[in-house]
Amino acid sequence: MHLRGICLIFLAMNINVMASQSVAVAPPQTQIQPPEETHLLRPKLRQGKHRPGVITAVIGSSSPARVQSLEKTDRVRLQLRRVAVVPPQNQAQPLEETHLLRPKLRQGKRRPRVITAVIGSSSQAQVQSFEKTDPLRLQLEQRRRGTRTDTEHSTQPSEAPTNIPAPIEPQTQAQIDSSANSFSFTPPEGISSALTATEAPSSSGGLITATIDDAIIDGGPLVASDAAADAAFLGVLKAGALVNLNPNWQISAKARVEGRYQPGSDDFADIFIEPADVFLRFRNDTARATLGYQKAVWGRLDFDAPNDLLSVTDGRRAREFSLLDRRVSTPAARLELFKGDYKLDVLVTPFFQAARLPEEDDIWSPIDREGGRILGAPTDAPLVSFLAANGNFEDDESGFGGGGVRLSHTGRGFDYALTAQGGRPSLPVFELNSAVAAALGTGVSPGVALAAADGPTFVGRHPFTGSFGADASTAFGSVTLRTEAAFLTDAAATRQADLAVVTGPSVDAGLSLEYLPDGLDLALTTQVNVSHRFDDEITFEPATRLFVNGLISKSFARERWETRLSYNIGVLSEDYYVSPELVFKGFSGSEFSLVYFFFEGEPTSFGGFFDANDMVVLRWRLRN
Amino acid sequence: MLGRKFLVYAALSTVLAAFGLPASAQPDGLSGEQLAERVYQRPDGNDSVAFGRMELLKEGRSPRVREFYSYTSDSGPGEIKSLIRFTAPGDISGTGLLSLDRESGASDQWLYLPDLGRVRRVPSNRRGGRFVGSDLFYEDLQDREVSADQHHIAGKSDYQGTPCTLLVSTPVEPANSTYTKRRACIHEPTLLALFVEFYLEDKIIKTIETLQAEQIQTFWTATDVLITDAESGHRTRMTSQQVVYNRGLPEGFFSQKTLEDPERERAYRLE
Repeated sequence: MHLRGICLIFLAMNINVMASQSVAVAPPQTQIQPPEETHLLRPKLRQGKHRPGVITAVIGSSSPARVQSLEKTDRVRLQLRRVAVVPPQNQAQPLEETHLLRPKLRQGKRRPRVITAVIGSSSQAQVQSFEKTDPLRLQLEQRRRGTRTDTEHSTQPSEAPTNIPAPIEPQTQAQIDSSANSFSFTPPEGISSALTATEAPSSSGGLITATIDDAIIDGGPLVASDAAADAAFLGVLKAGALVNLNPNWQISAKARVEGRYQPGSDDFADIFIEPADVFLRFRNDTARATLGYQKAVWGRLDFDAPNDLLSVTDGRRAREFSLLDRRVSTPAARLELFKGDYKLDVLVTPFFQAARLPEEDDIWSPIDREGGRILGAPTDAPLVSFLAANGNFEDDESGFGGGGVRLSHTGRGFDYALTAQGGRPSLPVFELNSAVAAALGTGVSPGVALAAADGPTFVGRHPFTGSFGADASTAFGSVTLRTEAAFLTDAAATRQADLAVVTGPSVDAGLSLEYLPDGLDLALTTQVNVSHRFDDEITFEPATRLFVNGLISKSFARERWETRLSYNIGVLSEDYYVSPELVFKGFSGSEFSLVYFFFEGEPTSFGGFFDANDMVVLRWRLRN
Repeated sequence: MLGRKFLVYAALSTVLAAFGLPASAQPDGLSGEQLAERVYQRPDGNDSVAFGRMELLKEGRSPRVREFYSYTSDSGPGEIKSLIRFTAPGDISGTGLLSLDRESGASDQWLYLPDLGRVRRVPSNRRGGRFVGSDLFYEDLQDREVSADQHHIAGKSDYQGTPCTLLVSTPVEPANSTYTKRRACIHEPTLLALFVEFYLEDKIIKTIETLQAEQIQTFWTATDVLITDAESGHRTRMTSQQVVYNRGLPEGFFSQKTLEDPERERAYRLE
């Protein structure tokens, strides 16, 4: 009666006692020898914001029962469990009952570290509080030690009677029964017994979520003696807000600010702000439509994707970042339709956007006025050098961008996509002003020809081309194979004879192998790109190009540290870009890295053009 | 044994549990294979959603925390689908991993990296290598059919006083596992693995302990799991902050469209 009354009291206190179990008293060899029966009343344990960690036990039986409270709920609960030890068979039953009332535990910031036990029996129960220094608790702790006592058979099946489990060692049997709704164990030393409560992100989401997506600060010295600047510094911030109007409609309003400073004989500084993701999006079960500034990168390869025609290159940082970092958001309308494992992607870029290239005074500009060089053009042609040094440049950025459709399938063991598109590549092919070219054709000096022409000396052209491509990927073992190819109807190049832009059919293809060796925390990605233009024109750009590029990364100390090696190597011409990097990722969300950028190659190559820009960079990057 | 039903859910901090068998049905006399099969086949709902937290713990250093949602669906024998979406820290936030295990034993995995803005197929049978810097190997995340190992009951033991049955599992094909042996202590009333030792040769290289389990919607769920690297002492603690079974995830949920658009998950997350 008394016990039932206590139970009712605890129930009234909103302590959910779910079950009870009678157990025997500890055997003589234990240091606790409650003389009565012990009852463990097992509450339903639940996880939640608030978890009053109170355990109540009635220890004892018909004679005086005691209620005790202990701090450190979990640990003590376990200790109390062990008070209730099943005696060896045939051992006499205890004289008194002991009940351990186990309330509903909840997790939360406030967790009373008290266990209350009723020690005694139904007639004369006593309430006691167990605290850290209580002798009983210490005794319980001593009992707890050495709790794993295996009675393992031979590990060889032939030696073990597999169908006949060995008897349970009685002195170690604990009191977890299947009718309880939870149980827990004492964590090892150094591990908090309390779960760390974390609020899950809301399922509904806030109406407006402000974010800092990306922040970069880096800089360091240029190490070459003939460098155009002493050092280069870069700062990037991408931030904004995401507005979830409802599950179907979403608005993104994010902007990107970038600044750079290059001290030297002629200091260069630049800062600009541009739209990042600024769009209105609708989604339902079968479709997603996006209208506004966005990045849509088609293709499958990581470094140079032949089917990526409609995205816009960001060439303002020759230093390597990820593929998406090397693209800028552009105005586009995109519709993605999903059906089963298929996806149909329709993209239109109504307003053509040329690639973002560095200012002419920037050390990463493809035009070197001082040296009379244009990236890709021969440096041993005096006419080109004169025009590059004395002329001016303009990009033809008017008109329609392009559009296309892409059908992709993700399936069992094999993914593929087919792409048909028409558009204007964002990277320019420079063409000499026709008036200048005509004047030069009459035999006048380049200076005279230059003076005779109106408008820019060179115009960056972006001829419209059709592109039909396919790509696929599969994985076997520890290797992922990705490949893609595209046929371009009008690939552009600059004819050497008159510096005019010509077009011809071309094939671009690539193959990538990603290897993740077992157990090494190592990733090796190697990609080969080849392109060939099918015409007889003699152009600055070689008709056939073959490159190998990739990334090798190896992490250490549980990904606190990582080494990376990025590279791009020309096979048919000398062209090297190599970038070793040491990254520290010990602070969540942040990366600190030390990077070296090495450029080398023939004068017309990328590596050769920037070979004076070798530099060491210290970088901090925050991503959210 | 201790394949999907234990390790995946342990890794995802969702469930490391099974429906508690009534006392009268406790499987005395079971063979190792039968006990392994029971653990593997224990009911766990049609699907589940959980918000998990992974703490990487190294003595003397501040913990590093990863938080994620995990979604799983059991479509039938061997047909298991799962999606993990990291929500913190920022450098991996938004990263998603979609896994589809087929009845044939084959499986496919795709990774969505926000930095790339693309869905990438990745090898699904990767075994070694640590999952996001934790003490879990990729193998621990994969479904492992009961038939992939030989099992035998090695006797009785206890874990902190709780009796459990020692189940030893060794790979049938040694090459298809990082481990040469697993030794698990199965709490038979709940079919929970209370303690697991992972061996390489005859040396324990890793242990997994269940620190807390709860019965949620009748399904036993490990809500607090500790993985310890025996050599370095590095630990990974995985806790499930919220778990909901039978959430009603639609058939098309485990697909590329969800993987590349985290907003599609939002309606199925937990209040």
